[in-house]
Amino acid sequence: MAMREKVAWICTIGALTIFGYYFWSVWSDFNARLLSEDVLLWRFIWCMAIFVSIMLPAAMVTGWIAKQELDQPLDEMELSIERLSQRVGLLVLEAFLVIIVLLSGRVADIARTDYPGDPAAAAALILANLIFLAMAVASVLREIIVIVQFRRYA
Amino acid sequence: MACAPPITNSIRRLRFDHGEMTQQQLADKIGMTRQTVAAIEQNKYSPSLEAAFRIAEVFGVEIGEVFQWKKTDG
Repeated sequence: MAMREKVAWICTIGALTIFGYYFWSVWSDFNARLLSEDVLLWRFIWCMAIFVSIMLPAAMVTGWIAKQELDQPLDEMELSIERLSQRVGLLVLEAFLVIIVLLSGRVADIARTDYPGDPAAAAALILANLIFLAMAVASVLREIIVIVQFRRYA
Repeated sequence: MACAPPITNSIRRLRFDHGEMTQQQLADKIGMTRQTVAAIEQNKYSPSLEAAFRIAEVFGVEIGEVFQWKKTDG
């Protein structure tokens, strides 16, 4: 298995587990009308720190076990796979961002109804998390495409 | 899924003829990964013209001896 594919597996599993938990917790807080900037910010920082601290050593250990270099330059097949995944990931991200912009009015209405105390902050929080979600989905999709393409050529 | 390109190759035989060269050895000589060489050999990936010339150069043969165009009907 190529190093890039291993990294893609680690990223996908790590992101689905850790950021899956994060977005599930945001959704739970949203449903309970308990969205709080400080709590979410610190939860996000913790999730990011855990993700990086698991991902980096995992990739290094995997490369070390297989005697592969982490910073090996990509060859032409790997570059073509990377290009395809980047293109699709970017398209998905753009589509999500357009949807979020279109939904912003509805988000403001929800914030006004559910958080009468500070609707502006609540709307900003929901929109920021929707953007994080779009970025996370696009990134995971990119890594999944890398895996699928490598499996196709294997 | 995209169908295989209408190109065949003799890389496996050429490797065998060159002292049973491994895919990894060939990959190292042309600056690619073993996975890419395996994909080219199994006709799952079409290499660039530059890579094709590099492979031919390693075996000391003309590019047409390594890659052959598979004629299609019609």
